[in-house]
Amino acid sequence: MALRTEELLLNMGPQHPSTHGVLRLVVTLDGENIVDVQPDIGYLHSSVEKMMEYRTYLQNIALVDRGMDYLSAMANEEVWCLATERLAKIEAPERARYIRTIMLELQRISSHLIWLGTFGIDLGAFTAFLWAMRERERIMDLFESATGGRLHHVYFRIGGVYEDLPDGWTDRCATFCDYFMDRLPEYDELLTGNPIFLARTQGVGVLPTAKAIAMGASGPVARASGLAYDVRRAHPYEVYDRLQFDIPVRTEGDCFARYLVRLEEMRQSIRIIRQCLETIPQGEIRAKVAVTLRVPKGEVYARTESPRGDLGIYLISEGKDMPYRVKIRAPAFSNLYALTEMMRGWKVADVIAILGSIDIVLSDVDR
Amino acid sequence: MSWDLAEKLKVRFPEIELFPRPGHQPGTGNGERGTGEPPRGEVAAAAPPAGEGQTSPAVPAKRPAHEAPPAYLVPGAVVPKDKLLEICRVLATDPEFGLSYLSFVTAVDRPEAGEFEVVYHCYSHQSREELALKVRVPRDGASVPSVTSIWDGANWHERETYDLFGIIFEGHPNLRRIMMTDDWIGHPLRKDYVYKDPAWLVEVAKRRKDEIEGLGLGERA
Amino acid sequence: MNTSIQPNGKKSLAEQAWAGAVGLVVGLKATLRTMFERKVTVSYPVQKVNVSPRWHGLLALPIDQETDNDKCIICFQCERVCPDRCIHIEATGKAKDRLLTRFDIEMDKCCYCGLCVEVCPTEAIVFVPHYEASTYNRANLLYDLDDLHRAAPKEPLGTGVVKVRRTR
Ligand code: SF4
Ligand code: SF4
Repeated sequence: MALRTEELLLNMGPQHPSTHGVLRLVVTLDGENIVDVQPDIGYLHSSVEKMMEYRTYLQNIALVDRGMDYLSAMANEEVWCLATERLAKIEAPERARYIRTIMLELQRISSHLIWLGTFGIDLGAFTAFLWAMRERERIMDLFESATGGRLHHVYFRIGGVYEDLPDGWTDRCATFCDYFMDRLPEYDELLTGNPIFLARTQGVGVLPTAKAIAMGASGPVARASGLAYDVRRAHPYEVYDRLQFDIPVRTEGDCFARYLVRLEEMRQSIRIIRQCLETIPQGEIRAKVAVTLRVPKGEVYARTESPRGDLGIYLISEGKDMPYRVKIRAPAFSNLYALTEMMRGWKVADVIAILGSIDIVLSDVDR
Repeated sequence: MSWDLAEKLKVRFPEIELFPRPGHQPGTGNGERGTGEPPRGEVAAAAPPAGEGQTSPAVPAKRPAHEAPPAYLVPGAVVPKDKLLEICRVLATDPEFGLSYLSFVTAVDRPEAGEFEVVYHCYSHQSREELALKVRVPRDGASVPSVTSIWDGANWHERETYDLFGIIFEGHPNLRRIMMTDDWIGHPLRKDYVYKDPAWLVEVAKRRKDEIEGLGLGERA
Repeated sequence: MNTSIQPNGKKSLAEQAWAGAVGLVVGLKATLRTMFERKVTVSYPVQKVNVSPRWHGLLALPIDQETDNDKCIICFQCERVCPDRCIHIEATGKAKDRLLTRFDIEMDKCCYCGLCVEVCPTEAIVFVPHYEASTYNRANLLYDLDDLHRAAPKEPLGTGVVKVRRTR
């Protein structure tokens, strides 16, 4: 007589330490094997797109900071300013563009560090978390002295940045680069060569290239699946077209590849920052823009490479001082959709590893 | 970013209507355009000097720039609803277009015109070209065919658009609310949406207020 | 890219054990090194960290030493620009004789964006480098004119937040 088995429905979250926010996963299990995963999102939905319709272009900078991905506020400000500048035909001065690039790359490192730490925790490596936070603290101090804010900076303005860098900031930033490059090998020691870490990530949660494209994945998730697409290279903004940097791509498509891609991205970010610090010109930091800017009628799609991937804003203006409609193309939203594909066929213990590896921020997913 | 793909699509499907382009006469190709988007998506490198008219009120400029005709800085076309699936299939599978990556699906509410514009934005990783598609549907009982069979990634984007605008995507495998709760009334991103607290929430808020006042906690310490 | 990675799993038990031991030793070495480094944490309520002069902390209306009043010219710019609409200003009188009768900031709504500080033409509203605003009662977070005056730095504002901000 055959044993009668049934599928089991398991709810993970919305309050679960490894969902990195409020995310509910409805996992269908057959024994220990995952048959299907349906992410249930929306717990953090705040209708940012609607709120943006009722705020001026300047006020929206403060809103995108926290309404979108709160771990990479600079990237959000960047995409918003970029969309507005393109539509209003405003050009940021040279120095401001360099400052922005530096800030964006610092933000990328700090966001990846949080990811690295939490990913480590998910897999039981607590030390990595503390170390990543320690490094990130340095970045936060840099942010704080330049912008006044640690998480939410409201630093970029349409047509430039708010203030010039304080005295000695570039030196401190260069010191940080050296410090961080010294520290990075420690993560290799701690994680990259660790057999437990390898066993839990290597070959786990594979996302094939074709699927990654079809499901709209982007950023490190897609690059770990062999899709060499980085907006900084494909459609350079700010000063990325003058800088030397590599786009790390791996073809395995598993959790470990995503880990390696992000680790290498941090190295490349340092490389970018160093080049910027060498060549940053003096001069104006802000174009003259009215406080209540009226943006000409039109539509524009601006896209940038946020730490999580292809972050875009589709902005429709009707010539008023507030946007008519803003669509935020959130990278984590599409990446999370690919989760089902990655998880199918793995064991329930791998849920946490795979979910951790795609680096979701729920406020980016839900907006 | 160029209008090549849009032009090609126009040749293939004459019934579509390209987005208006400033300074462009139909048939002259898309070579020299004074305005329009800067090359390779860089920040307004080729754009006219910054702050033209709309930024500094000191310039007693001609017409304020925000009254100029709309500028579409994203290449695209308005397609009829019944041709949408066919066009999308061509775009995604024909190597001539190769737009295999769907950036997003969304909608724009135009109450004056009484219609929704459903916007699709697709992208090609090979040629690095992009193309936006718009479908105009009337506001009442709005529905468009779902493109999930062509781009898998459209799934959640269509659910989100359904949730926030109330547009039905016919043939969608799982058209449920995704952001709002399942029992939510109304579609928040519509322009005429007004939020009202549900009765139970009003009740709770009132009770809490009374409680706080009773305890004297509402006073400033 | 630092990669000395061999696929796991296709190894014998002894090899795996050896790899595990090596990983353990390498990991512990790194941890041990860190143990003898300088501490990076502070024990917060006892020790405090200094914030930068640009810190987005609480808001204040500093008193001008010459006029013994704040510098606000009641232009309502800050009220208008505030994204959370948490500044409320009322005034009486006309033109030169205008008098501030109400200047409330709902600090619980404020998102510390700094737009009000940015647009103020006279630097009448400033950030102070202070970050401990938590209270047990939400009503305490409504800062009125007196609170804002009191919150301002004691020294003459020549060395205050704004001037530092502008000269650096
Ligand atoms: S900091 Fe921002 S939110 Fe706070 S009062 Fe000023 S403008 Fe308003
Ligand atoms: S912007 Fe400055 S001067 Fe104007 S009302 Fe506000 S605080 Fe007073």
